[in-house]
Amino acid sequence: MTVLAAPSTPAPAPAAATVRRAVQSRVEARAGYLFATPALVLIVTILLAPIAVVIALAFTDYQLGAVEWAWIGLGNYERMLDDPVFWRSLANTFIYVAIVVPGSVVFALVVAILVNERKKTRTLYQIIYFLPVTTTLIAMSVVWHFVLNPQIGPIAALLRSLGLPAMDVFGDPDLVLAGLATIGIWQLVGFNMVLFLAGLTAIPRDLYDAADIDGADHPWDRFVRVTWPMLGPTTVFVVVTTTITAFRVFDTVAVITRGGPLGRSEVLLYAMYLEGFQYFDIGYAAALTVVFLVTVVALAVMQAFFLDRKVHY
Amino acid sequence: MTAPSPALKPTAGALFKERLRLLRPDRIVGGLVAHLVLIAGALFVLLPFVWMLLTSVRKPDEVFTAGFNPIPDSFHGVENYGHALNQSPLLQFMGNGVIVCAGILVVQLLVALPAAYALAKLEFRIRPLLFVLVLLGLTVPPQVTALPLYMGLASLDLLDTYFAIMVPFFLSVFAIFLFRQFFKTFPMEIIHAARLDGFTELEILIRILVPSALPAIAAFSVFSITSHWNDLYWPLVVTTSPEHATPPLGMMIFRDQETGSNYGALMAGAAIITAPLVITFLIAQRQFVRGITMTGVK
Amino acid sequence: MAALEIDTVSKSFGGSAVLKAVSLDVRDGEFLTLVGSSGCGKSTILRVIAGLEPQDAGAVRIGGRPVDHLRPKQRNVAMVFQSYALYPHMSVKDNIAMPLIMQRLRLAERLPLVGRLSPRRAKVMAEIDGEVGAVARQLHIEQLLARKPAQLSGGQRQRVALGRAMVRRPDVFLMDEPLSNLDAKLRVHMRTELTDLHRRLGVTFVYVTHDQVEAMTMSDRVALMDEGRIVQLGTPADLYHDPLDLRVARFIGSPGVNVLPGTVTGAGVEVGGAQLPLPVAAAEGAAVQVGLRPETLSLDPPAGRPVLKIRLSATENLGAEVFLHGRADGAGDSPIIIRAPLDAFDRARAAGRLDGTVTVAVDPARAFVFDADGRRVGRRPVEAAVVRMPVPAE
Ligand SMILES: Nc1ncnc2c1ncn2[C@@H]1O[C@H](COP(=O)(O)OP(=O)(O)O)[C@@H](O)[C@H]1O
Ligand SMILES: [Mg+2]
Repeated sequence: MTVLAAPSTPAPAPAAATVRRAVQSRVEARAGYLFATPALVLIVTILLAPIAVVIALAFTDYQLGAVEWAWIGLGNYERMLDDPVFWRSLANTFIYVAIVVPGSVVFALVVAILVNERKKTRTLYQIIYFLPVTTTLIAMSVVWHFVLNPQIGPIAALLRSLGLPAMDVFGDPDLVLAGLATIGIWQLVGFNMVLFLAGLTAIPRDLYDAADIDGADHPWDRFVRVTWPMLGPTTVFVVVTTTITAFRVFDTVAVITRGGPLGRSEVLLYAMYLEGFQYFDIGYAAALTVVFLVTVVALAVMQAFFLDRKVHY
Repeated sequence: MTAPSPALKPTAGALFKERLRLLRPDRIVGGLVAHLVLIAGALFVLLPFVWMLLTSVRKPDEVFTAGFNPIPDSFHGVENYGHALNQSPLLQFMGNGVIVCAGILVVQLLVALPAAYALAKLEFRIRPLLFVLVLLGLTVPPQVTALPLYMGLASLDLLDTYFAIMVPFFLSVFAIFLFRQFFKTFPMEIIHAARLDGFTELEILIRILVPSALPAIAAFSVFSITSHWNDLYWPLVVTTSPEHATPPLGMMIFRDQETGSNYGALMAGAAIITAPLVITFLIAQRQFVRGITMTGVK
Repeated sequence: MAALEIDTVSKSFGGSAVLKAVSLDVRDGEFLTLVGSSGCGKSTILRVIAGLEPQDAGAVRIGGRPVDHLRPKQRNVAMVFQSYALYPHMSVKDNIAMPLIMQRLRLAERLPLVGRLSPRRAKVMAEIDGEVGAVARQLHIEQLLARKPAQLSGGQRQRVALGRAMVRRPDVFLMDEPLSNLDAKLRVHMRTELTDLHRRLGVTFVYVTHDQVEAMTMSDRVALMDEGRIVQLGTPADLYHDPLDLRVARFIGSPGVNVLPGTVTGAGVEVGGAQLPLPVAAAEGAAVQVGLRPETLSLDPPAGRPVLKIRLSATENLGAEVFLHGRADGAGDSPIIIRAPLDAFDRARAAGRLDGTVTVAVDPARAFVFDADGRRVGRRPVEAAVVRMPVPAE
């Protein structure tokens, strides 16, 4: 029997194994390079090189189609400092974020907690609230524009029938950001709700039972002593992803307001789009892009930092 | 063990109280309040959908006088939907959407699956570097590379082509990351056994790992298709003619044609463009939710 | 401190009955264990007692007072969960203090900042700190008070869970498989610690486990459950030596009881050729099942007692005693285990009585006879003095 024969020829075995292992690792490495090559090529050509080019362009005064261009150092960034459109866009973006993030997070948290307690209607509510996430935002922006139309929209009609003045949400400089933010919240609530629901189902039922026995059975106590702390990591994650999404607001602005009225809905991405692809002021658009990139990366780093610390325990 | 003694037999009043307690009035009130809040929120969420559908079957003159009257006086749906489909090439936009989404998805999978296998299970020198690049890539939004890619495509005279619309998305670092995480959990013993059976690395990938990753691939497909069906920024940048316009772009073109005149048809158009994804969602909601919120597991 | 009465409590979940008219009296200060295989409804009883789950019918009384209308916190019971259910975001100290804070501070006083405005808050908190410290000292965890549960070992978490239960001085302690998440060695140690704790506190304990060894070693009385019913309630010795149901005989004891097919005869029961002179309340010729504990089969010469012939297949020598595995000739070839003290084993071997088969003597007084449904039919009261409690093997 071979098993019994094995000990009699022990010497060659390790050597053969070593050779086999070496051959295997060469085969493996070759396959590794082969499999990674398409991805590597694309990473270099459509990710790294373009980022490098953007950073370089930001130091030039290049205009699309121009024959001559020059290095202008920090010229584009200096121009940015004096550019009211840039400051307005930045401020508007932050205001938009400041409305959408708390709005969609709190709304989603409330909905998730209430939906989580439903048994028969749970799926129905989940479908309803998730619906906007799946829809084409452009098409729905056109619909929202119509719904909030001050002459023929249903909201205006409702307000009029209550004897209130109709609001021209997207025509009123003071309301336009709130209007866009409403659509932003509308689109994000379902997404955040699903994340919160996942967090809620992960809370062990025993904890609520222990809380009941310990006397923390008031809904408020259950929330502050069990639900909210246990949702800590989920909440941080939801807040950061929502912030990044909200920071990239573009579609609604492009379709509904085009930055108006009076520039009160100009946002960073829209300004980037205009400078780059409407005015073809490439150098300046590149500088705006760098600012945008730095902000988004900072947010992502923040997220990684918070999530690593796991927030509570 | 106790037999229930006759003395402990509950009186009628006590029985009634017991029944009442088992009904848990506090829970009923709480449930009612919860439903009220949820229904109010649902009305807000559904408002644009409902209004879109109602308006899409209204007569044009009624649109301007309808006010808050939800029920259309007469059914004008055939005309509105017909108008939307005839006046602008909506079906062509959607066809473009299908071509673009399918093209992007196929290349994404062809690039990401081998790379993910290499990152998860193969030893080679630059593997750590590649992984770092993937992680960095996760944080870069697509708008950042738009400017140079646009210039590059312009210099190659490739603007306004399907290729131009698809090319920035051929690489999905998210897909690479996701599949790598998935393959990482795959038992190494099975791969060793396959190697001993004489499988090449490519066969291992195609015959063993890809089938095991089908749920993840399905989820990623949902994620990819919804993002690119709905994407506006890049198609807006590289597309100039309606010929290659994707659905969102088509919606904008259609809207600009219809300025202020025919809301019924406009809403019909919005409904048509929104329908494919919404219907898919309603049919396969579980997979859909998993796919879209997958960004939530990273 | 209080007695606990469970009076014909029933409970079903979506059509499947989990508790079927369960009645149980737990005496004041008693350590009562509910034991049974997984899924038999033990946790559900505890949850009904605690008020976490409303029963469909029946009543629960604590200290003679009906508690069915009371919320969990008003019943003054404490519960230790299998998972411990410690609040992961709170320190050990806050975990233990939780029941007292909820009891003694009003809702407004518990609010994050507003609460500090209350003049009595500081005084109450100081009191609570003192009590938490005292409990922590009793459990030897005072050096852990600042830690979070994730930084504790399994045994330490267990103590914190006990502390949270003790601090409120409950009338009844409910414990749901509290030791099942610990490793074997710690489990044995914690058994004695829990019985010590019970003795010191003198409070009623209702303890749930699926482990018959825990039930036998820790309890004053044991209730064995099966499929939503209590099959037998009694002292550990009662359950071991006088099981009223085949399920009890099988569940209690390790190695398990030997069960052999038998027939009722005029003189008693015939099993594998042995005539057991037992008074059996069954028709002659009826088929019965005879339960024989492994240690009641003796290797020593029968001295006139009925005997069984056994073909031996394996011998396990554990040092102080020996397990002999085999099959009973003439009794349906049933598998059988004999548990013999080492000296008896040595004597039998020296006498050459262990040559592949062995003849063992049966003590009729310690045999259990069950009818086809598993109910005990032949029963002779066992004299307490005769009964020796064997130490259960792990
Ligand atoms: N909340 C519940 N909903 C539905 N079924 C339940 C619930 N709680 C327990 N059960 C079922 O009741 C039976 C008894 O459960 P339990 O009391 O937990 O058993 P155990 O004796 O193992 O503690 C099990 O079959 C279990 O599936
Ligand atoms: Mg249980």
